[in-house]
Amino acid sequence: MIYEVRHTTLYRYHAPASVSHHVARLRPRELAFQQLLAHRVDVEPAPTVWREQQDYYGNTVAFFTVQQPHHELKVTSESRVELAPPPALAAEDSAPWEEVRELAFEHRLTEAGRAMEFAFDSPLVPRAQAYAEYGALSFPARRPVLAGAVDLMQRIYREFEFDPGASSVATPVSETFQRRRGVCQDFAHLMLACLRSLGLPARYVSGYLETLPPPGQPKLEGADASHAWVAAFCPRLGWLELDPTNAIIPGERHVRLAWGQDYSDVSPIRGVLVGSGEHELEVAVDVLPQSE
Amino acid sequence: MSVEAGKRPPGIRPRLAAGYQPRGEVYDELLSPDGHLRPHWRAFLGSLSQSTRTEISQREESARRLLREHGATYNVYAEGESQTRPWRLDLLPLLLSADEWRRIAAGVTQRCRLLNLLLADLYGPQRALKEGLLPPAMLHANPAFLPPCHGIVPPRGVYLHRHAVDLARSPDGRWWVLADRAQAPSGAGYALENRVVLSRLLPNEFYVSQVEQIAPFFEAERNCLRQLAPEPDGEPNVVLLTPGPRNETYFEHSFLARHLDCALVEGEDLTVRDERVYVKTLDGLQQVDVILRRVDEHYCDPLELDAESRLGVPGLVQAARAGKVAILNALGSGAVEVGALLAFIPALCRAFLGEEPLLPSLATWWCGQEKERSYVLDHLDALVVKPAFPGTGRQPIFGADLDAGGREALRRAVRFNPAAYVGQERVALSTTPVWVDDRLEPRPLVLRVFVSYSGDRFEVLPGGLTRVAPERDAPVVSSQSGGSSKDTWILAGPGQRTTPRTALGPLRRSRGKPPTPAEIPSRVADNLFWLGRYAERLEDTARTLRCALSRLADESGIEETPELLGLVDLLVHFDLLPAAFREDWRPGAVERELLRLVFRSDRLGTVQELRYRLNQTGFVVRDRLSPDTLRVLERIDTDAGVRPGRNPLHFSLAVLNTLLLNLAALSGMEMENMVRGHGWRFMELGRRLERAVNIISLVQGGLLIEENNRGVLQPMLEIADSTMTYRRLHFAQPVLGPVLELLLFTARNPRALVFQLELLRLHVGDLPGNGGSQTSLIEQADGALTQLKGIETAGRWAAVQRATRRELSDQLGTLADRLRQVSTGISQRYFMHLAHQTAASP
Repeated sequence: MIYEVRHTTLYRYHAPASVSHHVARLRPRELAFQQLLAHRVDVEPAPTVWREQQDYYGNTVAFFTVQQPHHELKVTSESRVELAPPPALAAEDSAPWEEVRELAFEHRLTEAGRAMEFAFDSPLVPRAQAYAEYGALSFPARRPVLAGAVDLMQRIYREFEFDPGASSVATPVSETFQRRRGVCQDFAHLMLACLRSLGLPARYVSGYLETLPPPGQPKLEGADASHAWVAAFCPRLGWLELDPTNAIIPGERHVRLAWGQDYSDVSPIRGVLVGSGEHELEVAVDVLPQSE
Repeated sequence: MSVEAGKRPPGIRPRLAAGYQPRGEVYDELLSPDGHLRPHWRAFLGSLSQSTRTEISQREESARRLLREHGATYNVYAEGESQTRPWRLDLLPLLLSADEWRRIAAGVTQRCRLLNLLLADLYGPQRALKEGLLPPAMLHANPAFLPPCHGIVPPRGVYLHRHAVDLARSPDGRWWVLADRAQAPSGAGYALENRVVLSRLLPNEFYVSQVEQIAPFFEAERNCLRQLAPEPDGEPNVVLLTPGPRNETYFEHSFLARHLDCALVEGEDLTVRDERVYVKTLDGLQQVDVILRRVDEHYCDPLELDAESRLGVPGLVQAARAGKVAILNALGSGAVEVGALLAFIPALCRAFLGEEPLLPSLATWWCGQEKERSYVLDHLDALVVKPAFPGTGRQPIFGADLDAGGREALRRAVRFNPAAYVGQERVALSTTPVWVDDRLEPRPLVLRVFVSYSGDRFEVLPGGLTRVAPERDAPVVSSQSGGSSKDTWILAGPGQRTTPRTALGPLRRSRGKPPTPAEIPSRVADNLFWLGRYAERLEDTARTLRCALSRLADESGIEETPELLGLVDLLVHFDLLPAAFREDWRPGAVERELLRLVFRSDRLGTVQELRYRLNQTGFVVRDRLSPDTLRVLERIDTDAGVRPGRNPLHFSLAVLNTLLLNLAALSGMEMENMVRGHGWRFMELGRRLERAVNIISLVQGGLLIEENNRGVLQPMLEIADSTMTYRRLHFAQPVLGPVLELLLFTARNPRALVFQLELLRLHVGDLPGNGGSQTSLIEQADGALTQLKGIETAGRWAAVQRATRRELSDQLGTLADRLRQVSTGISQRYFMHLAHQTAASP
């Protein structure tokens, strides 16, 4: 499956910004099952500084600075991605979850142990007894770790309501947990909190999902959105992606941009302006399948 | 010992030490277990014993005064509020012999070397994890490890420029490392301040003890900072980045900035362009080469680190990554300021340095390891359980103090999140004498030692910051929990001689552009401007209140004299008295209201409220003011910050008189001691604008009131401090026309409006940055002056009718509006580009 992804971000500042700095993680990752055929980012006004580098988790991150006074900033990212189904992981054959937890006590760093950098508290995902208790229902003794993770994903999908009005970028996990509602980012953070509170490694994945219009209607431009899900880990098998917002294992319709400990590591674009107060923001994402 | 032997038979203690009773079970710095004076204290105590106990206590009092005058403070946080507390210094230093010091110095140097290598490894290849020197979870669970900083190699590979080690001495006499301070270690400035004060108070003791100087350390530091500039061309620009005056150790930031000859800046003074860091000054952007960082690293860059931070500099991490700026200590160095690390130091030391640790670390068990965790949980009685990593806000827990329930809760917490805890041995701290109630008393101590690394050499500060507990048996010693500090004297070895010296020598500048004194950050200019305004506003208020209160105090039986009537109306006009007083008032009510204005701070514009604002503004720019100016500000604050006594009316007059004298001293400092740079100019602008607006208000009030009551003229002259001038010119009771002339148009009268406007025009013309909005500022100032001259020339003010009164008052009103525009214009042009930062996340 080949997709054209177009992601535009438009900032309108109420007063001109004299300088603005941004970091963007907009370049889809190159994976065995996700090939990046083409990619470009346009920034208007043109940035004075543009640096692409790899971050600690291997994501490509662009740092850029706009140095002339500007009222607006438009960032357009266009990617052409070819997706294949990710390798199927036999969740029921994964290691018992208690064994995975033991990776935290390794004496030296191993390939598998690297995953444990996603097993502890992160800025937006604190661990707590309450999340451990909620998560534990999916992890009876000796249950294969990935089977437990799939079950947890389904429970979150069933027991939590998708509610775009209930959430902002800053919604803490505790609030999502208490109010039983949120959006993709909240469900991803909650699921990470549950897995990590049990001592299990899990990471946050940012990307896009192709959405299908209601039957009989054409797809609207800009109707798609940035999306977020998680990945849980099992030694030998590797990372299994899980989308608690839709209760699906991401396949050919999910485009992976970046991963990290939580949203704060991988937000597609983050900026700080100097010389301006309020701003408005418009984001439009299109994930368009290409007929081959 | 042999050197001193024979002078005085061992075992005989000087009088002062008589009655000094250390606890037997811990090491005492002064006395050996058999009660003998340790030899290296002999010279010191012998000399001190020549003074009487009263004299010693007097010196202690002098120390307090000196510290107060230097503005030495430590801000303490309690219940969400912070309060400034004077820095405490005990009169007795801690004395350490040359031999002992050599061992300590070698130990902390080794530690600094090791931790630098470890940081280079953690932020690079992470060999320590792969080879099993450090369990991987030590890094993964460590919130002080900053992933965005991985791969950044600082200039000359210096991660830890300044390292500090907290040491304690165990009963067997050995020094142990309690903790490493790697993130942004504080204390060296306080150590220097302690030395400055103590060497002045105990000159004789200082001399006979042959104390190692600490000034050379700071001189070396000053040069070393400049060598660490990544692009060494010209004179490097070094700044000290502080979180601001609310920070607990702000005094030290400002003190060190002064001694290290670098600018004290806050995050919003800095900006990143082209991956370089600049300081925003009135003259434009100046590149920064070296940042001495005292802002916690998490808060240093809202773009790549904590997005909520308002203390940081957006883009700073990228500037470091691009290698365009040296940040000391490097961002991320807090990763080794970790209690859990103590358990792994020996192995790391062997692997990285091929050496055994010279200083042992306090026995520490990290609960992230199974065996160690079991040990801790089984020995809660004997151990202190502490957070393994910084920034968790958890307090040390003494297992022995817990009941069964508390212990079970602790066990559960440790089992849930084992990596977050360490168990540590309880330390029996050594004791050293402090001066309390005219005698020596033992107190537990912790010694902080400082080392500095420049890429090729290590310098140890020969001394340190000794902190003593407030109680004899306190389990914890920290500046936050009370207690006092001590100077630390390292005695020169045999054959060495020292001369006391504290002042730093002149900086040897490299060739290149000399630094220009005009480069002041916009934020500082802003505050100096307001310092001028508040000083003037306080003076005006004090004069007004004094004028009224003296009338109330002087009349034996208070009668409604025309002057008092006029004054009350004037005070109503100034909004100082309630509007109802215009109709009817009694002297008692006026007195109560006026005393409130002197002593209460619960409303805007009172003496206390303005005093507070003046003090806060002065505090923010303290590093820009001379020590004498700071002393005057300090005095204004202390002298005026009082409660009404038994005779509040007369007391208030005394307070106001003193306040006015102190304020005169402040403006004297401003006129006679401040360099005529932009800083001074902004303070002057603030003062002139404020005074101009106040005169206008005074004259407007006078015009209104004088129509019915000529008694207001005398008070007007008094408030404008022009009584003498008027009398000398006119030899008569005041008359409106001449009073107006004196207060508005007499260019020789420094209290006249025209005087203010002329200076205003002059200063505006000298502001930096020609053209644009500066031109319009000049036009506005010109306009104000022209308008005033116009009023004078028209001459209608001289023959005052009802209509002309109104007309003049209105004209003055528009003039005041114009002046407010000048004030706003100055703010917009010079201050407003301060960052308003918005995290622009979808």
